[in-house]
Amino acid sequence: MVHIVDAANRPLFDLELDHMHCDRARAFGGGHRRNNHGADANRDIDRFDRTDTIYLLESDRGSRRHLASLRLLPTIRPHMLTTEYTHLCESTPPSAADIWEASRCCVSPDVPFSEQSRLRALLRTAIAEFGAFQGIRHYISVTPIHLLPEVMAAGWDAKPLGLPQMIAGASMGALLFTLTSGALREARDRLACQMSVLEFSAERAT
Amino acid sequence: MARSIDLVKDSDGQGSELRAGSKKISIAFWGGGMGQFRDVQTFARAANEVCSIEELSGLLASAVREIGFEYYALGHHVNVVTGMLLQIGNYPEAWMATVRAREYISDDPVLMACQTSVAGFRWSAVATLLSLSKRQEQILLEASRAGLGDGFTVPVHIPGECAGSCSFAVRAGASLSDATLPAAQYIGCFAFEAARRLVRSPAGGMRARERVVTPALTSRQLDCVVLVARGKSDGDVAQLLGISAETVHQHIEAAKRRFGVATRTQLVVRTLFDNQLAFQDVVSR
Repeated sequence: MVHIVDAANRPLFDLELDHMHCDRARAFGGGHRRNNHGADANRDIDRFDRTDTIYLLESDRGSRRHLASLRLLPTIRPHMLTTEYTHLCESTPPSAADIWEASRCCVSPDVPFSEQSRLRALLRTAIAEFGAFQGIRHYISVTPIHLLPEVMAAGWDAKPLGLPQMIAGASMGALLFTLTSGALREARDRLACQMSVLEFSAERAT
Repeated sequence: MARSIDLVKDSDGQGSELRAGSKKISIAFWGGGMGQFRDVQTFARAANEVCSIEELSGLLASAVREIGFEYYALGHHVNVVTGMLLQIGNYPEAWMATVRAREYISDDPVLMACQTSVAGFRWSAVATLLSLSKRQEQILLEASRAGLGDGFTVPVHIPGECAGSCSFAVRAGASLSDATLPAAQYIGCFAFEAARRLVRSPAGGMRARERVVTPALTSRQLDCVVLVARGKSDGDVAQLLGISAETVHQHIEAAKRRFGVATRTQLVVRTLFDNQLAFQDVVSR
């Protein structure tokens, strides 16, 4: 189950979040860390990793090790595309209450390749469910272009916000994603799971 | 009833119309420089509206010319699962006849480079992605003689589906500018998704039975298959995963049933083919 970590339950996930910041530092390297606010070079922490930031997080239940996560920011407040990656947008990126930014999507580098694609699919399902429950119709995101076919095949309608550019050795593009009808079913089919993947409990399951 | 396609250049030479039956999709390409992003937006919208592979072919041929290419080829590299092979393009017919006659498709260096790269690559860089055989060097040479110049390929790897790609090429002797590659990347992605959508739709010819989503294995089943692919016995797998040999056997048998295969070898091949398991999982860890 993917946890929704927010201001209310954040203390329960202190270990998972710390592992997440370490994994992000390893996954993104220096090229993506333009504004690292953490004192520790081994942890990727920027100005948007606030105490009230919302994360979708999958972890190993036993070890509490971070497996995969992403960060959600409302576009009515400053976010990555309006601060760090403005050069990826041809014009001002869309901003509205029902448009959120998904950033720092990270699968632990320790996870085998075959499991990585399953975890990406799990996060896509989780973000779709979160959007359905929160009334979020669109997400904007800086996405590696090589993953775009996978995202569209999962039922997301994609609209580019600018031409892709090379960032830290990978071609990255800013895109607006809209969840199409049937996408949640397709996402669950791919996971062989017909139930919600989100953990709505305020507490961490043990 | 088949829909007719008519690509018409506007009088100012800046736009095209894709006329498909009673429906008309207006396309206004903007050309190079700042216009490339608008070309991408235009293509993405139009690709989402096309209703047949023929319409997509016409749209793609028009779009690639606008961003500076002459030729394109889009398709799955192989699809033995559904018996369906998606292949569209406008490479020179003489070259395609040579490819078929000499069975170049099986060791096409560009297609093989797609297996080693998830990122788009220029054909001039293929030799850095794989060690070219004499035959593959010959293929590149003959392609150039047939009129295909430098090119750019966007590999498409979708977990649970066979690999594919979308390639763009200039005429032999023409130069390929790096400035065109970002737009080509997007057009390749949107074109492939449009083709995929059309082929998977009932009108696209794929029957309902064939649209069934590729069976996904559970994490534990995948753990077992990875180790089996590395040559481990049930006993070895059991020890490594901390479960009983009987449980390992049950996971493998359940995975075989999901794919409808009879042997462990078939199971490993299918999981590799469907991108649920990567060669890196098997040979480098």
